[in-house]
Amino acid sequence: MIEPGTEIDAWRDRALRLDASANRIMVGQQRAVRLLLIATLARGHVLLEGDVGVGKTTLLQTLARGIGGAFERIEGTVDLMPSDLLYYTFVTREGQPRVEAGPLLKHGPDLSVFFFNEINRARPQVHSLMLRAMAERSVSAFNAEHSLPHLQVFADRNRVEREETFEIPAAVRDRFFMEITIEMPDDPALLRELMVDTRYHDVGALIDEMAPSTVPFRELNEVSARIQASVRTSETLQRYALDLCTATRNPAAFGIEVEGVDTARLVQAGASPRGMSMLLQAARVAAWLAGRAEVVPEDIHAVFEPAIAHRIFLSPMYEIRRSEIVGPFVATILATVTSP
Amino acid sequence: MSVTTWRIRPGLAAALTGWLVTVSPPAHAAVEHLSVKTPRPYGYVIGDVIEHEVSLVLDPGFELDRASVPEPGRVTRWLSLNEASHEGERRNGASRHTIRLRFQVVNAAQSVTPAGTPPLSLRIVGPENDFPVIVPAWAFTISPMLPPGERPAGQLPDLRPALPPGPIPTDMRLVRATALGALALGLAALVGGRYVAERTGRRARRHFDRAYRRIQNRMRGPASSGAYLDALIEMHTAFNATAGHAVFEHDLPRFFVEHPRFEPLRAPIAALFTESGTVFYGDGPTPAARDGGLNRVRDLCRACRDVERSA
Repeated sequence: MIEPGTEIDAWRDRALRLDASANRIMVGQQRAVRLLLIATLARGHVLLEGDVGVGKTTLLQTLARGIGGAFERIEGTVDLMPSDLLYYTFVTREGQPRVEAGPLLKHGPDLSVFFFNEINRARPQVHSLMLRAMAERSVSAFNAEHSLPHLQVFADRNRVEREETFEIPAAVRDRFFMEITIEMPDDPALLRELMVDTRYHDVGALIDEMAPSTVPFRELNEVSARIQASVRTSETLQRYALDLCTATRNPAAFGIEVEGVDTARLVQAGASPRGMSMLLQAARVAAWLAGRAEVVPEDIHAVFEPAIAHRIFLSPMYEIRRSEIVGPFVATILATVTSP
Repeated sequence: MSVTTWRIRPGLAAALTGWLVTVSPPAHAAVEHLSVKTPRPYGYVIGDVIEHEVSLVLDPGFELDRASVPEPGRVTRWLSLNEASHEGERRNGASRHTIRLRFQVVNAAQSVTPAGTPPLSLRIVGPENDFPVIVPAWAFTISPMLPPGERPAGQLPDLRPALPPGPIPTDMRLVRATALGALALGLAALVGGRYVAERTGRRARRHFDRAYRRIQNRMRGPASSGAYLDALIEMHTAFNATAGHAVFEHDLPRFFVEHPRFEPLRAPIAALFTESGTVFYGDGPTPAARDGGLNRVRDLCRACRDVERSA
């Protein structure tokens, strides 16, 4: 158990307060809110998955208010160039040409949440700039290095249209800590509340309900490191996590079977070493939020799909059916691999 | 087929180190048995299949990292690994592994050419550290299919082209007769097999019965701290087998819904999973838990066995 009264325990209280406040604003999204909080506390970048209008932007703006810092958003388009993220040029009223910092640089080190909407509409050149920004939390511009120490990138993919889209390269996909699915609540009472209650009509006022800077973004890097250092993983647990990741690479060896799929031919590449490390980082934060000082399989189960599924690269003949295969595949791995 | 066997004992291990098995000294005792079945080492031609069977027995507490079993693919200029299968079982705590490797010669030699399979490095995961066990390379020769140089005219027939595929049977009478025959055979097998399956299936489904016998056997042997951990693992194995999927502490509500006959044992079963969680994922077994724990686990296993028999 996390020792009560310690600094790390006080941080846990704040994190849970943020969780509760976000759930009051984003009704019916407990799982997405919790996973987003886990990613934030592990300083990981997030891919968001969900239909139009389910509240992805509202959720991110809520988070940005909860942790403080600046929020920026950019739309992926086929003609977007890397320079558009770094600067923009215009002519002043006096007729003078001016260069101003773009969305990535405008707030300097205070940028905490960067939302890249429809990232797969942007060209590979833009993906490669994001790769650098995400991996090193810095970018080069105006002959200088610009540090973005608190940057957390959230990217949304357009899964409906395929025209003029560029699939995110494997290297960029693997940099994302999690892929979080935001689904429409299926409770009819909640849906009616969302439709009828005027509280949800003014998104700005709704987000203002979140107490600002509940979990200050400037301290997140240090808190994240302390969480990782303070939550233990036993050898049995490490072996279990390793078995789960190995099963994503070699499912036939673990007897994983999915209906209508030849699992021996299913996977082109499974969880990478980076993915395996991120899985345990996420599980440690989940354990810490649950008040435990050690990770148990339940924590791994809570984060396995969002942390690993997007790193599984299927053979071309199965990739087209990805959405119907990956979920059952991951669920079968969790149901088949045993521990201790 | 020849068999090369290495039985690794601490005393013998020093003599073998560096040649057959490269393991660090404290890890030798973990490998109880290692042998490789190999076929004849001479006279292979393109297309021939070479099968190796590696048998490995590890002491309790040690496991083979299944990821270290090689993946199918091209391995040398001469060989392709077409199939690599692994079977493992646990007997009296020790794990037994059989790895079958199916190589194929994929290149034609112009003269008798020495070749070999690459050495195989198997990773063993131990309670304290991991170490590799090396199965040495196996040498053999590949021969040409034809004599060298120009073939003397008239002495050997010309090389024949590959046979074209045979026509697909389209005679519907034959197809119907075959289908009916197969159906009749299938029905007969179903009726006969059902009786056998009922008898063997009932025995195979007695997972707690098997666990109880193993725990009892272990308790009859010399007392050791590993017996308590092994008993917990036996219980988890029985729960997983009963449910047909991995059962963790947070899955217990679902387990009781799917297997309501275990409901009267809900409290002790939940306590067992909590205890096991502390032992395997938390601070490890407390001395008190370790002392009385084995009897407690055995008693719960017996109660579960009784529930299982009553079904």
